[in-house]
Amino acid sequence: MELETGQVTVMEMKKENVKELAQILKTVVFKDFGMLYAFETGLKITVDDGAFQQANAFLNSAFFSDYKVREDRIALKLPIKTIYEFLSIPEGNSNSVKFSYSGMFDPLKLLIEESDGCVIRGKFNSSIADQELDFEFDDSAVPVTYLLKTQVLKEIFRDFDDTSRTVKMSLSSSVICFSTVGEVGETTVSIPSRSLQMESAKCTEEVEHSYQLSLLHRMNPAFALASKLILRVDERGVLSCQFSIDHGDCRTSYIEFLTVPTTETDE
Amino acid sequence: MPQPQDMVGMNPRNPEQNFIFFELEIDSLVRILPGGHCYLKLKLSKSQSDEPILSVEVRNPEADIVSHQIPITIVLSKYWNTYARPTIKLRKMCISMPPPKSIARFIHAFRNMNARVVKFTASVSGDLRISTKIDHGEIDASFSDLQTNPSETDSQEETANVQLMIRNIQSLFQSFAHTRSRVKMNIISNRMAEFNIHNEDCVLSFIVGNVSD
Repeated sequence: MELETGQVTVMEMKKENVKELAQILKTVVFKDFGMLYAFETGLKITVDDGAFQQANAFLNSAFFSDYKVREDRIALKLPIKTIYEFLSIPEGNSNSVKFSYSGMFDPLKLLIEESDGCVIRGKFNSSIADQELDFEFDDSAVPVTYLLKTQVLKEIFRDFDDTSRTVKMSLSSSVICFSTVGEVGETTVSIPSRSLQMESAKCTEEVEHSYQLSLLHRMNPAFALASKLILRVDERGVLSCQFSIDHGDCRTSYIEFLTVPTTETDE
Repeated sequence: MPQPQDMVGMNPRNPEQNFIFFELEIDSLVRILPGGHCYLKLKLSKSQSDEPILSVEVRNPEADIVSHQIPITIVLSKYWNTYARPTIKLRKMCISMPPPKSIARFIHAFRNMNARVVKFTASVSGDLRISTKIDHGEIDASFSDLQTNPSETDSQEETANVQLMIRNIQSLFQSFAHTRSRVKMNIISNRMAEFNIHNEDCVLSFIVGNVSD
């Protein structure tokens, strides 16, 4: 482990308070591996299941106390779940983590320093990033956009009937409805557009799509962390949920989930 | 003068070996003991059907005494050697460890990463390294300024290491994670260690080894 040597790196960054980073990662680690993309402006971490859902975490360079990326584009496939477990080791807020990567698919090296003097080193194998799933979410063809607070919505999502395989979303300018059909019967929860939870609603046409409950549940950690959500659906029914996480001092991170609707054959 | 008798059989008992060895299901005791009891009494006895039992009486501050009976198996003296403490001939290194809570969180994280084996490397200067290899990399944690006791070791080596199965030590450190116990590790060989957990009024000795590849 030679994080401290003068070896030239193509990427290095430092984050005070490791917990903040671990919490962000927790929202997207629904698979063992993910992709890390490093740009001059920040990091993007992408995890997808190959078919139905993709999660992206966007961390601005200001999220880090030190941030250097010396190549135009760095794209790595990493054991993201293991890295999350590693970042979950320290307790409290008085700690920091340093990342460094030397290029050429060398391991990603992490070094955590705790306030009591304990030093934790991790070395994680990297490889060529997989081709990213492109959901072709068309920002110009979005009939429905809502800006919502997450306070009530997170409880709605958490409390969906577990015996229902899908959740039907009915979206209009006046109300959002979430319906499930399970062993106890049919349940519908509505948020009217005049609700205090709804900050804005734009709807050019009423739409109705169903999504697998298991995919929606993957968003629960993001709900726990975020204060606001932009919910959009494109013309094909692909659901985009963009969570905004406020770290204070004008630092904001974003988590985005893209989810494919179920089709009639799926149901 | 009649000599003391065994509880079972009629073998005369050597006064210097006046013990009773017995076994019981640990879970039976674990279920009874937690709960803030202020009174605990243990008694070896016999049930109404003349079977050996451990009678356990517990009481909460505002409740009556509750009695429990746990079936036990008496171990005949010819099997007592099975329960003898392993002879530890050589201690390669003796070091005081960081608090059990610290160690427990590393072991827990390593387990979540699907690691099977953890390596402890200790030095006479008080450095301790806890490391593991996983499918996709390696992790290690370093502690320094820990107390060592060269007079308790039988080796002149500056460092010693031991590899142990994580599953064999995880519950030990988890059990003491929320206590103020102090833990001392004696490295016996590169595959065996003894952990002495010091509480206010007792010491638990936990000897663990046999790493399976």
